[in-house]
Amino acid sequence: MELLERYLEAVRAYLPKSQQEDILKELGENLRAQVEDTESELGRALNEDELAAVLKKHGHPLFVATRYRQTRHLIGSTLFPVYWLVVKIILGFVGFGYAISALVLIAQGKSVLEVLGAIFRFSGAVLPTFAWVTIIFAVLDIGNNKFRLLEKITRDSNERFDPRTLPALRPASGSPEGKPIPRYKTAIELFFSIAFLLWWVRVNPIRRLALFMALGPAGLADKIPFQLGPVLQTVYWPVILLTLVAVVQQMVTLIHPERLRFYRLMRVISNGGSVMVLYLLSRADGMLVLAPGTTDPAGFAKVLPIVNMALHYTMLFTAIMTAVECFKQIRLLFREGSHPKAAASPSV
Amino acid sequence: MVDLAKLLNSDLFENLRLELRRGSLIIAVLAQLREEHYGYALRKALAERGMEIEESTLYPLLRRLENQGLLDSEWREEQKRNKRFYRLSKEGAHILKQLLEEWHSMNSSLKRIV
Repeated sequence: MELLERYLEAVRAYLPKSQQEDILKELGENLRAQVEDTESELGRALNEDELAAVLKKHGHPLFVATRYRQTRHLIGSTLFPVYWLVVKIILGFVGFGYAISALVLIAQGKSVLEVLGAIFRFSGAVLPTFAWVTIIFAVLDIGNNKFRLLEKITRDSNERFDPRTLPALRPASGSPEGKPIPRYKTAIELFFSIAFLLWWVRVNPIRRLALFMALGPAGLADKIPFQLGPVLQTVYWPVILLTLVAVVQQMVTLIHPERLRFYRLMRVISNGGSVMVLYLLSRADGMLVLAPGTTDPAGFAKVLPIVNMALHYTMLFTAIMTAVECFKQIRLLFREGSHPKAAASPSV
Repeated sequence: MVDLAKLLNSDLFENLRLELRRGSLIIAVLAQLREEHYGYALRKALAERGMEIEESTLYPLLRRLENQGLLDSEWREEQKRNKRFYRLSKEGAHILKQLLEEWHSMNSSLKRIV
């Protein structure tokens, strides 16, 4: 019945997320009942070719899933899954382009406003892109309704469809922990990791942006009253190394979101290292010290202990959260390592 | 040219046949669900009475009819398997009665015309 599970997983990919579990549970039970019925008629279990024939008769996963979608007025349910996939891909490319241009501006040392402008221009580009793709698909849908093109394509695809060529089951596809890491999440993490790295190696606009977010308008003043204390020297290279580990992990996860073991292993390394760095930072006497040449040093000296205390507790809290995440990944690594078969069990 | 004409004719016939079947299928499904069935059992019951329906048409249709309030459904264990059983709802019974009246009236009109 592994082929049946693979078939259901293939249907899942085209179903609306909110209904996936319910539809697949019912569809799986109906298909199993049909297979068992045929088996009891034959008096033996179906072989793979016979099971493939049952599934082929049921139809290509894309078209099976399409029939569960609600009728839509602008773009019909047959074209809608393809339309939605194209929207996501195009917006992903546009977002990626804007993220790269923002990083290039940071690396060129452009001002905070220019970098922020590049990021905000993305939201301005989203709407026209979305509108153009929608218009094109609406026209295609009108053509399809008139000439019944998709019905012919569906018939041809169903004839060519061979369930035995469906991809193997992904590990632990039924549990949220076992699902592939969403690419959008990894892309956001990668953007922030690179931005953090540029800030850490003192690329100015990012540094100033972070100070603005932490200190408000004072952070944009020419003379920042605080700077990192001597503890910076201790953690400088470990932070760069840990961020590079995270960047490598995020790049690989972006290309192969299903490689969960690699993902977890790298997360354990970077989280474990981060806990140590955060511990060192929280143990330091003062993370921040007064910057030389600060105007009103007496006034800022009064504020400094409060800022350092806030940072101390922030570091402690972040260290605890990171340690919890690290243990979670270790537990999943051990669980999947000791029960690889159980992890690959079907969800429906 | 002859082949193309044949092809167009068969396509046209297929489209008209599907249109004709679409409404009848709903009546058949609603009528059969005066008795409780799960998806596959319903398909078999309809096929035994000469109404073959593809699984990929029937199963989504059941969910649509349930969303429209014409069917009630319930997950229950049968032969050590959890199955979703469908049954005609109160509203469904009322609509079925109206549809059957309409169908009978159309049928007798057609008989007089054809």
